[in-house]
Amino acid sequence: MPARAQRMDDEIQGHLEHQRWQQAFELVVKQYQTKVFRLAFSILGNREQAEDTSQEILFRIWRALPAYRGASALSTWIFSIARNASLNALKRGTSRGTVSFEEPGIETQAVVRPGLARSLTHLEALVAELPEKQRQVVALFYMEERSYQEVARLLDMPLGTVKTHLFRARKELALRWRKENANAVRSV
Amino acid sequence: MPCEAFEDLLNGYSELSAGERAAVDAHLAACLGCRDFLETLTAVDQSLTALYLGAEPRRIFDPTFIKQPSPLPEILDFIGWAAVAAIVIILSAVAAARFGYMLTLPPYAGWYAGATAAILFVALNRVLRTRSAH
Repeated sequence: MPARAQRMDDEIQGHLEHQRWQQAFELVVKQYQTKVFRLAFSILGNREQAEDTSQEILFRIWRALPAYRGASALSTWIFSIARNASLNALKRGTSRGTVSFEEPGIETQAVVRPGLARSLTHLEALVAELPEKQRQVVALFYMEERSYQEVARLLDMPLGTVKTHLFRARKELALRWRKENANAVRSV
Repeated sequence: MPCEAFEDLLNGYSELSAGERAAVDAHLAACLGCRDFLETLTAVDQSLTALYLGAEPRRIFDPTFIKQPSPLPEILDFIGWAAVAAIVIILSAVAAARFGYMLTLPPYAGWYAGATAAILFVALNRVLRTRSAH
């Protein structure tokens, strides 16, 4: 874990030991909100649902804070709550969504590179077809700036398993992407 | 299709050591299938980066919106449950004394029922707190 993140966790632990719940929770939100969202997004595959689930996860963390005993690292505890909540949301039958053109980043890039938006939507559809674990690893790997360690930490998965899933996912995406592009060229 | 022996090396091309990359580059110079595969992998990699990099939630959670009181310290929470248990014991004893004759219950039945209910309340409290922590 980076030194800055560890210092923040130590500060949170200090507040918890003195039962300063509000201060501890404000730091938890500041430190973990984005990672909780990315973890939920990688599992659910849909931004709206990931945002809804992230709010729910943070409320759960708030209610569970006094019961945190330090048996595991704070980040491990938080990500465990986030994973369970996201997997429960997935089981409740929320469907996998796709990136829409209303995503601000996609719109901007579409203006600059008109073909990019269409190909990103297509790629997102290919990612949605991957086996669940591969899909989660791929999404989280690129959200977390290609950090194998961060993905392993968030998904509670051995590093070697993360690499295996990522390699298989990229290979599958490359093969399908090539096949579909080849079909598109032939049909022109 | 890429050569099977080079698939994994091409997949992790950006992370190869200098020696590994030299060997792969030598192979790429002679193998069109592997060159095509690397080109596709690079395109997929760049597109996945464009799709996912730096994903941030649009709705920011504001912790000051939590209006409920801070989570109670455990001792106060326990006292609350103990108070509920004590009330149940007393009410059970009073009810048994008042109405127990209808069921031919012995006088002390209310106390036993109340104590049982109190134990169940405390156990339920522990289970709920443990589950909420997970």
